[in-house]
Amino acid sequence: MSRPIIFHIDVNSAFLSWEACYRIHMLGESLDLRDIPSVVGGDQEKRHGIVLAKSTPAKKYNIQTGEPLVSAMKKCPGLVVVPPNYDLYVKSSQAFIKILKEFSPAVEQYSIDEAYCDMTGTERLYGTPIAAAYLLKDRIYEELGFTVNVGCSINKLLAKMAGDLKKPNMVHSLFPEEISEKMWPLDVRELFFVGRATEKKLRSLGIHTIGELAHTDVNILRLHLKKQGELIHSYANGIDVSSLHQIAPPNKGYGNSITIPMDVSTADSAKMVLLSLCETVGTRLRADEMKASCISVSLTDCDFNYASHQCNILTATNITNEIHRTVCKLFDELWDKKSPIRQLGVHTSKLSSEDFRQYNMFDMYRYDKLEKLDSAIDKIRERYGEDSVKRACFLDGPLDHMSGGIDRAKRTGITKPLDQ
Amino acid sequence: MQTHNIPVEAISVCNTIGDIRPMRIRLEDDKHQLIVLNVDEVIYCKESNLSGILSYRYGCKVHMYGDYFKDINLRTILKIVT
Repeated sequence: MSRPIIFHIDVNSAFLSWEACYRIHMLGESLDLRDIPSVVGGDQEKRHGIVLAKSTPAKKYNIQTGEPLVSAMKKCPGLVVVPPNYDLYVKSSQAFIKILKEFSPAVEQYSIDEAYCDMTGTERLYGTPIAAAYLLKDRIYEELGFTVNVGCSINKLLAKMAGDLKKPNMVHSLFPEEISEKMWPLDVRELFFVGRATEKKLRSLGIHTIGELAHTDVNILRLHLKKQGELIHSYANGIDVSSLHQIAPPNKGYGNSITIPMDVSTADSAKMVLLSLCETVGTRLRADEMKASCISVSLTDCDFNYASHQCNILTATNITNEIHRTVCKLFDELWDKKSPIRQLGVHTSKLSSEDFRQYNMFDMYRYDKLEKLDSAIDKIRERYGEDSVKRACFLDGPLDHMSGGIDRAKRTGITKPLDQ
Repeated sequence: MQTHNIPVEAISVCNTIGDIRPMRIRLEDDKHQLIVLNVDEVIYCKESNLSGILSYRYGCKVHMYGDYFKDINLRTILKIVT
């Protein structure tokens, strides 16, 4: 039996490429954002001003994804900043995945701009894996107007490592016989699953390259890094047993957070923000017919100090009021009542889809009525739009009644695989 | 050759199988006057899906002033309502 062939396809500077392509082909602009130092950046007035994607010339100024726009502009004074357009990104991503599905019946969408394809057994259809990869890359460029990197190998890990070798618009292979030549000389930081903390530990052990990691005794790694040590040792040797997930695994939790445009310094205002987050989280839970029994609150103060607090409740719930009541209790315990708050988050986990409730004899709330109320509100919002019903406390206020950053865009498919 | 990229209003017809053909366009000229032009000939029609946006590009011959003919490119974005 022939060995498996897995492709990893990654759009180069996705948000920026899609934006540049749209501006050239749809708006008729002559300037290509990909050829000049440019970034897609969030709204600075709303304090979401970070770099979301950067062009290749911008990379030369050492601009990093996720860094504040102010710092990026200091590095490159002539930097062109364009606002994000999530609707366009979702459309581009859908078209990208559609082409992949024409090439292979087994496609796993890993993120909005990355996917794995199982190309096993397609040799007679497309030729060698490298020929197929070029065919796919060129078809995407001709049809959709943006460039991709394709990595070919026998498993997902090696395909991803191959795809990240050199960008943009390239095809790379990383088959087991090529590991020692192409992967082992790379810095250990380049290995999938090696983050900043793991890198520090590995360097303290004298491990600087992937090859050194591959040749290190797994017992030493297990001693210092526990289970992750075994995992990265396997990865360094090109071993990955994970299979392609064509259906996205179910959510382990539901959460939303928001960076507030102005620092919040009173408990009442913070609880209003938390209510708007609970509204979003509750709606998402109910839409998926899930209930959560672990609720947590997170906050980041104006000095970027992060703290979180969580608790388990007696019975799993998806009632907005009940979630908010628990969240307020947690918030009161968490906040020092002094530090101005920059960011707030509400997260739920320990999910279940059970349809019963454990009543508490001393509980005074009428949960059945609240459930019916939430269900009626969801139906109205589904039919007439999210803003058709809102709590009176949000009327004429600056705060959105259903907060959560770029949630509205997210709900159209940014975080979930897109239905074709 | 100078090219202009401007939005135009258009009247088009659909044939029996749903193909769209532009017939008449209205645009603002250099003197900021609205002018109406008839599309005399559609030379080509190209479908594209660039950036995932389904659109049609028409290369048309338009009768402008006197015997002067001009080639124009019309692009329309198709919105599919499901």
